[in-house]
Amino acid sequence: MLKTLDRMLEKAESGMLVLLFSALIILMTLNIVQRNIFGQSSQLILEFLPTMVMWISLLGASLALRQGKHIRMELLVRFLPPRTQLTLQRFIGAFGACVMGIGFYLSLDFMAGEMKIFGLRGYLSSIIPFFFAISCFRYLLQIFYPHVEAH
Amino acid sequence: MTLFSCVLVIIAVFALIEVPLFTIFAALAFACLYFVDSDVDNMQTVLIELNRLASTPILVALPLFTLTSCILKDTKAPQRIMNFMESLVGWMPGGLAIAGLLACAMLTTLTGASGVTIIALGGILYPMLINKGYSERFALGLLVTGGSIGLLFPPSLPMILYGVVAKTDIHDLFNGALIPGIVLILIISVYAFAYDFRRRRAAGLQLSDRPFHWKDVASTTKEAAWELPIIAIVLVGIYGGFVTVNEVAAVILMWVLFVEVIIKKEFALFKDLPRTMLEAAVLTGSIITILGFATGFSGYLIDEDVPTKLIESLKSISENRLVFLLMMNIFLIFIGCVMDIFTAIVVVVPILMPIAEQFGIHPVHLCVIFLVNLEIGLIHPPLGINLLIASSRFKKPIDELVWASMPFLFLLLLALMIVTYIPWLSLVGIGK
Repeated sequence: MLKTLDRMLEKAESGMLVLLFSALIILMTLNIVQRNIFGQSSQLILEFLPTMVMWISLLGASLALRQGKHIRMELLVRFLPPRTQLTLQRFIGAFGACVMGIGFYLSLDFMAGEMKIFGLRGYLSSIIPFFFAISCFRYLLQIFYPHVEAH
Repeated sequence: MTLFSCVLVIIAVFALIEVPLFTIFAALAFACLYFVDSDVDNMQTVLIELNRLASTPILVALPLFTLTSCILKDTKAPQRIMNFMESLVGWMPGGLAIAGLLACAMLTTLTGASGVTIIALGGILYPMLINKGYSERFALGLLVTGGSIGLLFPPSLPMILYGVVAKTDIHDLFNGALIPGIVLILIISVYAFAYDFRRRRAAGLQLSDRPFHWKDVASTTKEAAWELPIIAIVLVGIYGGFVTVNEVAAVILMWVLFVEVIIKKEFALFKDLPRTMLEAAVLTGSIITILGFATGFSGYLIDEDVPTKLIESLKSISENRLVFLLMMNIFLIFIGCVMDIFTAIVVVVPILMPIAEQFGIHPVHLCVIFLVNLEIGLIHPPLGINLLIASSRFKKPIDELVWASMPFLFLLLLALMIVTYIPWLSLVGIGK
């Protein structure tokens, strides 16, 4: 059940990422063409592009968590027996879920503030609570279904 | 021991058991900000810093260059670039090694020394070097080192990130780092030349087994004719000042897509592009989340005056600029061994910048020193990431790779001394 939910989330994230990346490339190209033909850039596009990168990055980061592709220290674990590695994975899951849980709790307040200040435009930051929630979920999943990372 | 110290120790332990670094920096930032005056609201700063990234225009270049490098490595472009370089310099002793080095440098500028170069070019270059009679040790050393050469050339991703973190003009960084980058390549090329020259003399071989032919150059140029304009776009775009770095990233991406999908037909738009976009997003995400959370943490360190305290303690040891540079290099090599390049930039640069400024070091010179140190850290035992990647790529034990890369390590240290103590090399490009 939890794993199915995770797979569904992964599909939704992947679909959104492909859409956002395509839109980023198209908008960026449009802006270059517009600047060279009409002599000025679209302010709206210029303001919107970094926000799109933010969405791509946070969606990519939560996907990286699912694929075990995040940057880490890689100092010790490779030398430990697989059973110990599995136990450590559970601890890592618990720690990560706590940190991301705190982030999610804070991000709800943060979002309320954004909506108050920017109105509907505040929704542009809604990827932040989504990111914390999905990451927290994936860390929790790691407690129940630990797996040994390939080094 | 206070509660704050206990929390820091726990976080350090989790870092050691390999919790992803973005989580470690999030935990550090939350803990440090909370314990300032035990106020939960302080922790909001982390989210504000994370959200502030969405107003950093230069970051747009990061996913675009990453996507370009992911596309290139899945095609035969690295092989064509390698063939072109070989036709140019393959005629001289050490020519194949130098050609390999140049091809590695070109690929690394786009991939940011993330190990992609060793994976993409290693499989092509390693058998070629062995077939031409280079020793296995030399070939492995060259490939381990080649995976980090190129960070000083545009459009180097670590340099873009450095510019974002240090709030330094990216064009200045690119202009300043160009000559030190050439010095690095020259030093290793001279070594490759001398190595092969001696080997051939000792074995009674001809000095060259591939005479220079314009015909060869013409045919490899024709073969790589669609990839070579990438260099021209970067050079004209960035050094000519006609377009922004973001626009260069977009133009190169469109060019690579056009060439690999329509001209070369080695990359399927609907089958391969979505997969590659996900690959690039994962890579970008893992870098930018570290940047986002570490910014919150380094903001705390700056609020607590950590750089000022460090300056005071460094000045108590010596006020001499040259001694400071030496101490900084030793520190940075250590950092390069234990941290990946992107994390090191995000965490160390904000602390190091004000200290270096106190000792009169120009930000562009500091950037060059910083990146050369991290290049060395990538091949420095015991934790250099290139050693680990090469070990799994070539199925060789780490200790063998350490010995193989030792001469190259010394050469890079020599280059480091040169760029550190001759600031002119880094500053002439920006007219200082």
